[in-house]
Amino acid sequence: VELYSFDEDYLHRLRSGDPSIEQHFISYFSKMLVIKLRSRLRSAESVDDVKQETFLRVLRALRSKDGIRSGERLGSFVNSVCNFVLLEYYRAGKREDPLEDHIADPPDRAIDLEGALVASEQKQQVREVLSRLEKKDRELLTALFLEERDKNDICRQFRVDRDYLRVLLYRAKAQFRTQFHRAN
Amino acid sequence: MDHTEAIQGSYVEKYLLGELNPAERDSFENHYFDCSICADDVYTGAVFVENARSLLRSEEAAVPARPNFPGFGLPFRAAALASVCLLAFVGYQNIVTIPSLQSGGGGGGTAHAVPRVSLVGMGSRAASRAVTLLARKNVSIDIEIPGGPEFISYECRIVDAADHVKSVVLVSTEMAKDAFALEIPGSELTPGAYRLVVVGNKSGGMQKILNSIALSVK
Repeated sequence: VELYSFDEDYLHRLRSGDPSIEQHFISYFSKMLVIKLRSRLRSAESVDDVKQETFLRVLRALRSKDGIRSGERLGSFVNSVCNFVLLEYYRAGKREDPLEDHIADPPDRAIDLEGALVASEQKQQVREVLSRLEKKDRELLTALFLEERDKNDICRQFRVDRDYLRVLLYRAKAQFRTQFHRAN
Repeated sequence: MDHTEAIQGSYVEKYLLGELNPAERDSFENHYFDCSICADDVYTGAVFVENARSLLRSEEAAVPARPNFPGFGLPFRAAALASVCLLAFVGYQNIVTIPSLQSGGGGGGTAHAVPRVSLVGMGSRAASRAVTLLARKNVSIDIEIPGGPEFISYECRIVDAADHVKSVVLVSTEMAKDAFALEIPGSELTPGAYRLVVVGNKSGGMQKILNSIALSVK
């Protein structure tokens, strides 16, 4: 994620149609929105529909007289607009039903994001991280990411608790981050 | 939610693992859309998870899958499956059971006892139970398959520590309705660690791992 300071200047340039800022805005929030929406929608097309509509409304609101003026709240504004679009999308019954929101630990319904988050260079970096893991931890991640099983079952199988899963992910992510950021 | 709360509560990891309830998830999203540090952490984590999933999936796919017969209808596939089951049964009888009976300590044609382990009623807890086999001795494991209507058949695979498939037994949905005895050919396995992996076959060639039980051959 390319870091930018979301301030008044950023908002002003976005409002006035500065191409480099517009490009950054779309690129930065596309990633955030895809990550958010993939757990709520069942197809890549739906994710794209909601994302596009969100951008359209945010940019329209920014350019209106009473649009957002606080740069540091831009992110939460995008998130709120997205939530609103998502609700409308559910209500309109466009090919989707909301995923069951009352389930605290929903099944993994990750949309195939090949192209959005998966790339050969990053795959190689992840391969190196996975190769350095203990066999048990690698098997644990396989069970976690590939088998559509309850996480408590997986924990029982490997005789670990839920905290262990989080710490394992945290460590693997930290190792990956070093290479990922160096390459980027 | 502020940044300190997000960090102290391991919200990034919980979010990536799908462990937050809807209210917590909404609150954390509202935070990380504004917080570039958490946003970067979520993005890095999501990239890691998706690439790891893609890598592990391709490694899983490298395990030879049951061939699919596109263009042939269900009756043909059912007949083909029945033939394969029969072939596997006859082959198993010829390769394992009959030679074992002929050369076993009990003498040719004499009934003999086979060690038996029951995993019935344990459900997914069976995965936490390691089964120990003695080399050169067969063992019978009573298992039940946690199947579902989406499966057209099941496979019980014995895989070694390097994930090489040592043997496969096809199980029909009919047989999987109840617990059944699966005879593990300990006589065919060298000492070491193995796993009994139960796989559900879906139409269209898709497969899903349903259970994985550790086997230790001494």
